[in-house]
Amino acid sequence: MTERLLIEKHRDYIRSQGTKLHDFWYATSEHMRMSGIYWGVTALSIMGCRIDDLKVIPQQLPIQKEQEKKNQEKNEEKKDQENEEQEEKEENTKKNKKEKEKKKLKIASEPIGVVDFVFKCQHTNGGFSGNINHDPHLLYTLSAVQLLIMYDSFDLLDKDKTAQYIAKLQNEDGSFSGDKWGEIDTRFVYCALNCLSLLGKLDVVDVDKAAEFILKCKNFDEGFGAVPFAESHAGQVFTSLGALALANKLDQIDKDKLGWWLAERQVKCGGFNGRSGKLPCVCYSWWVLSSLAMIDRINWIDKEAITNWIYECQNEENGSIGSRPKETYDVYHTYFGVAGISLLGHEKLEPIDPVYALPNKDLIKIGITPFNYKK
Amino acid sequence: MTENQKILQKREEELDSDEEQNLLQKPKWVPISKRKEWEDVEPITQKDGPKPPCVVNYSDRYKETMNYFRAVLRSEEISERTLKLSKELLMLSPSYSVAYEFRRNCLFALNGNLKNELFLIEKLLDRLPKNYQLWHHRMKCVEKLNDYSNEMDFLARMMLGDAKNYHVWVYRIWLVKHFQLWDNELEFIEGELEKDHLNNSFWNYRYYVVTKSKTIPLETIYEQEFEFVFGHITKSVNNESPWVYIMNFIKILNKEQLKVLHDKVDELRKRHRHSMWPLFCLFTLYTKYLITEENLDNALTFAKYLGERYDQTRKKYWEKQIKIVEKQKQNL
Repeated sequence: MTERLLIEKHRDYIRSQGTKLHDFWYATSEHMRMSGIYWGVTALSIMGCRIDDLKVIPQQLPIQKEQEKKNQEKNEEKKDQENEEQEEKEENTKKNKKEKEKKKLKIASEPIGVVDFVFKCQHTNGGFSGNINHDPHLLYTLSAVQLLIMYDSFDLLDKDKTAQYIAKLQNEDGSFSGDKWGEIDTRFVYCALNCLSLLGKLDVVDVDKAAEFILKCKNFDEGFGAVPFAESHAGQVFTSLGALALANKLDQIDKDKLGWWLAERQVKCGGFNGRSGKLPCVCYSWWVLSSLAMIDRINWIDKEAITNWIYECQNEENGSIGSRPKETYDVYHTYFGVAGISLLGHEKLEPIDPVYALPNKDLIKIGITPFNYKK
Repeated sequence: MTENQKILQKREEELDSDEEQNLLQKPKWVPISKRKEWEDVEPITQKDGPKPPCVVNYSDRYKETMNYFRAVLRSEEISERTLKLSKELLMLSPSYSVAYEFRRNCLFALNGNLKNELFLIEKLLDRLPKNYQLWHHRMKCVEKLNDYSNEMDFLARMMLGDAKNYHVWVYRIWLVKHFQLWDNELEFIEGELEKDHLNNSFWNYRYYVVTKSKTIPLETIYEQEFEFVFGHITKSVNNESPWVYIMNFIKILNKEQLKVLHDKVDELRKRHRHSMWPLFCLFTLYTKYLITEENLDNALTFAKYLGERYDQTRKKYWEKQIKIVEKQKQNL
């Protein structure tokens, strides 16, 4: 049977993302570059592709205005002429040649390695930001820690410091804010507990209180919303279940009832939606399947139908996966599609942990038992 | 210039357009370094380090605004000029949570016009209806203003754009709880459901309203809800939301109420033989609340119909349920 998952094409697509110039999506996603890199790297890792040689350009070059460009070109030509004369006298080392080329290509930046990038985003308070010189946030702190683990650079991190940053974000009712100015959301409880569990520092926060807050967000249909009474949403179900799993409180869930709600997300075409009455999207392949995996009911959905639908969302020409067939191709949806296929047990893909959202092999490396092994 | 480059440049141009000029109260962008009122401030440039990984060349406007913002962040200056500066920055970078916090500090300390602020927030939300920081900023401003009089109309406008916008509902949940605005909410959500009873957000909100507004026991709420919900179900039997809504009450029903519910649903089953929902509801009743041998046999039949015909997507789920019910029968 022909392999329908286009691993090589997705690999090539993701690898080209890090150094894209003048790309609209890349520019407008600058603030969440850390997460973007996490999605790309994890997808590559699950597909068994190498990640050690990945380079990224953190921030986008702007479109230079025409006149400015012309002036700059003129000045550079002048400088080039002067430099050439000087270099004829000096030894023409490789470094000079490289610099000349750079000027000619008008590229102001050099791509850097992923671990380099991660540490450049670290702040003195232990938190990580989404990009260099941005402000720290829980979302990107989690992505940063996950990346360091995947790159075998976990020991370079001051784990206490990062744990303290997270601890300060817990509120009295057990919830977490995304940053010191921010809103409350069940997503942030998940980020906090996941990160602290990876760091081995869950004891710096009140885990029971955090679980208490999550359970306040449980609705009449057994689903979870962002805050108490907010509509059940598959993304929030994933973060809530993940948090409860990390807090060892999954027994507080009616797994049959929630399992049915999650299975109900599958629509006729085979894809999953996030709430009743909405369109399916590839990202729910992850959030619904990982949630079902956590409550041991992944067999309740039609695996063939979702697999076929994810395959239909692939861009067969250039690689990548879109939100729906022929829509919005990007690294975000590529990751969620690939991760979903992995959870379904594709033999060519590395298994991914539904709670930590990291490949099992990486968890084992740092001494954490993957969720599925515990049964 | 590529399509995407055009889009990026258009955004910069929008900021100089007529609409934005009114909001910015400036004819055209004047570099801050050229403004007299900023003469005394030393802007702080971004520290990229000795060997920067990339020499980022932001637009001059963004760079300069950020340079001055850094300076006032450090000096913690609260004044009219820093208030204006924060607005300029947020027009360029509407997700920058630090700037929102700074702006709130200025607004609150200077007794700024919070009603105007709500107008500005709505203008930005029109372009960015799912921006977390904007919704949070509005919440904080309304909380401080302690005046919700504009909010219902505001939410109505946002709902016209997208009645399922998650932020709209999170905000409304907070607003109603904070200001105790329960009185009109039932009428409101009934009206919305009349217009579109397929919207799951509406049903979720209705549950919030009926269970939170007064301390009425669930059994009484159920009696009130029964007619309303089945009124909608009868109009559209395949609508998931009202079924899930009403089935949530089953666990608190007494024998009589269970019988009434059963008869109603069975009637719908006979009228709509191809719909999965009456079958699903009856299956739940037969296997959990009205357990008899005959009912378990019916449940098995329904489960087979569902797995094979009316809910084929969840075939595996129904196969599992059949096994469970068969065992249940044995143990009777």
